[in-house]
Amino acid sequence: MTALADEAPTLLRAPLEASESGAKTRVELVDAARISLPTPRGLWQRLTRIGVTRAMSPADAKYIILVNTFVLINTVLTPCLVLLPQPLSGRLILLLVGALVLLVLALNHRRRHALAALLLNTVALVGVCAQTFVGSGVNLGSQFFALVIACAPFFTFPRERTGLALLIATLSAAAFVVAGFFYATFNQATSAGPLVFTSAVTGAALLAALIGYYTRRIAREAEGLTELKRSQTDLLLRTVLPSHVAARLKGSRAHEREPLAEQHDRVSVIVCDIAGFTALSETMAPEELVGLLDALFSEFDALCLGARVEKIRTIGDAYIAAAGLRGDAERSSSRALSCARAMIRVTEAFARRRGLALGVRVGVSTGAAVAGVLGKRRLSYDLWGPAVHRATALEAAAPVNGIALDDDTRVALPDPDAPAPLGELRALDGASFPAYALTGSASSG
Amino acid sequence: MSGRGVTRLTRLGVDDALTGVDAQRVVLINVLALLGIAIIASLTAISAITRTELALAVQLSAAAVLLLVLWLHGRRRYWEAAVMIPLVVIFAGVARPLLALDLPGSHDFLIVNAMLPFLVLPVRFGRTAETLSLVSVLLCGLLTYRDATRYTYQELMALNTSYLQSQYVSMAVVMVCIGLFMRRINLRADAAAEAERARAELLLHDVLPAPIADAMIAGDGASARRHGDVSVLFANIEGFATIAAGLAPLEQVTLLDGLFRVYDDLCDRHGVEKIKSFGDVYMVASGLESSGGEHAERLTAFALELVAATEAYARRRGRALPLRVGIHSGPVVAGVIGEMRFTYDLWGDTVNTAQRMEANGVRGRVQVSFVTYSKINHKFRCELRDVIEIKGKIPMQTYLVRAPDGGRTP
Repeated sequence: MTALADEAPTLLRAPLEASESGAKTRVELVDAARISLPTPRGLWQRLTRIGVTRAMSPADAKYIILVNTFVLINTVLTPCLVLLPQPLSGRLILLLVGALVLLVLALNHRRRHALAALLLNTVALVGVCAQTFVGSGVNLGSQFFALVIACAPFFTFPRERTGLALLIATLSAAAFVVAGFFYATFNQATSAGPLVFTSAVTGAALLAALIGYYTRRIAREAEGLTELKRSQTDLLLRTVLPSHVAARLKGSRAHEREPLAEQHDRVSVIVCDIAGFTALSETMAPEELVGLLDALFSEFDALCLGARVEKIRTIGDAYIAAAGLRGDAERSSSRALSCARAMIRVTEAFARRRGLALGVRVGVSTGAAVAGVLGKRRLSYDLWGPAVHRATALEAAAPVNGIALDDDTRVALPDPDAPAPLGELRALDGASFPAYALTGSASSG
Repeated sequence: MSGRGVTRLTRLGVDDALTGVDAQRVVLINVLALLGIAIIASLTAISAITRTELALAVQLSAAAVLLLVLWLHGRRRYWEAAVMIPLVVIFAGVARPLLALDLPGSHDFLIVNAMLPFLVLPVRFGRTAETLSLVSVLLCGLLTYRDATRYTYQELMALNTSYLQSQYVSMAVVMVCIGLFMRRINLRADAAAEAERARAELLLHDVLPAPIADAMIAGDGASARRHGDVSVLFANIEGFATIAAGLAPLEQVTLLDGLFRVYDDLCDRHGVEKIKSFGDVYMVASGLESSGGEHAERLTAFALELVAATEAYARRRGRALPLRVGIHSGPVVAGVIGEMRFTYDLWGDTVNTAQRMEANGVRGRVQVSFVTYSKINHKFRCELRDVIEIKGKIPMQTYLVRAPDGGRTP
């Protein structure tokens, strides 16, 4: 059971939000744009995601979100700082910086992310320098902001711009140090009073705290999203390929992959083909027909999962599955037979429900086969060998809603003499073999 | 101390049990502890006011706590070590007013400390980090106000020049260091996470066409879609099962694998879409993407090379592999069905007819339907084959495409 339990197919076709533990993060980050009533929180979320697209990797989006967040923080802080008693020039600088920084959002909106980060950090640095060295002077305490913004570039520049981030950061740190070394030079006359100086220094500390807080928070959300995307990819991969095959193929590039084929001495192969499908295809639109196949084969998929039978693939209206591929060859033929019976039951019920003249022919054969993945593109798990050739021939000879089987499968029946002989069949590879048929209650009961 | 010794000290507590980001964080904390000790030492060396008995006692205790951080890492006590870093800065900040120590401005490190807890503490200590940060901001405000009521910044600087200047330099260095370090941590973590995801995605894109795979990863599902005009090709080695009957099953599969790899490369080169292979049948389509112009011509050119490539492969392997190829053009429905082991597939009468073009084909030749012929005859020389009877169909006129050497120029 464990071999198949790790594959959870239904998760994939339903929207993944509902089923994943990381769903909350996903809804918050990606679907923020869908919130129609702009609550303050919703509005904040939406504004911080300006310029972020769904196709973007969460790791890249992180830097853009942080840039927008710092713009918003600055926009909130600016009015508070403007209200502090200070020379007019100081207020003008603050307002100018506040306005210029808003352009960053526009740049992000136009996908000029590196430029946006550069503008944010440069305007902040130039603003602080103007305030300290030209405007209100060192006694206002604005130089402490230069210290804090010395680490902002590292959190805001896109991944490939570390050099530029280091440059701007060093300049900011230098501005702070210069203010300390040349304190006597800058605007000695201004004395803003203890309250203003304290507010400026505390404001700088607060900004540092906010940078720390948001950096951590947004990094965590991005991690959650990357993890979610990875688990979705893995889940999908485990659905299209058996997990041991996916694990072996993963990590090697297409051209360097070894042929992946495993020899199995005893596998029970089921080939199930829809009888009356050609007739149906003449009366139904192709879309309808594909929908019909999808519905029926999805029910078969669930059957296989429950019966410890491995679905191999579908080819047109044929469904191929096998038992005994996971080191569970013991009693593989009886598992395959009960799965085949269940397929017939499910099809009969399906045909009744939809009012269609639909049936299946099933061939079950037991023997040697090779399982694996061929080629480099459109990889799919497939089965080759004598057992497959026999099962195909058996399917063609089977009665509608009946099972045709070969000798090695027949011996697994509680009453091996129950099936009626079908005579000799000729497999695709030219081999002849005796075949038997199970019909009526024996096949579906 | 030698460079290697420093490296070993910064990696104290890092072992294989720690994953990437956690290990990096331990290194960051070690670097901060060493940097802190260096700062304390240089402050003591540079500024006379730090050399009173009381001041020395405070600084020695701070240095001792920083050594404790390294010791804790040696004992693999990670979160205790992490929390010591912001605590020691708070201690140095409050020691002064509590002990009536005359070191004005010594609390400025609390500004850096407002950010530090978020960077050094493990993710699950979010609440602790927030508290330590908030305490730092409040203390910074209180202590700054205490100084500011007595001195302006310039007066303060004039009184304690060397002390404050060296402290500011250290603050600036610490700020740039932690920024740079955090960036390194982030970049590495991102790269690792994306590499892991890319590995799975790369394989997935070898299984399903990229748009289908991406839609399914995004949870949108992939509903079947109608395409009005595409060309579909089937290729099959005639009687492969009997040809290969003398080979062991594994050898048969290896023979096919080699052949299909050649075909897959040809698909890439001609820009046609492999749909699937099953058994010894290989199925290709073109015109499914929006760049559908000339899809029949592209597929025919591909088919002719397929025949040539198969002959070359058969010669290399020393056995006869007679290939039949059939092409037909028309509308199809494309998509995936079922919930497990789904493959991208095509349905519709066009597919059935294309398969019959192959089944009724001629060894080593490409057979096309009249529909396909009418699309390609301006570019390829074709010869009319007799009207043939196809199972379940009205009789159809089919054509055999001539190989390019005789066919390109009419």
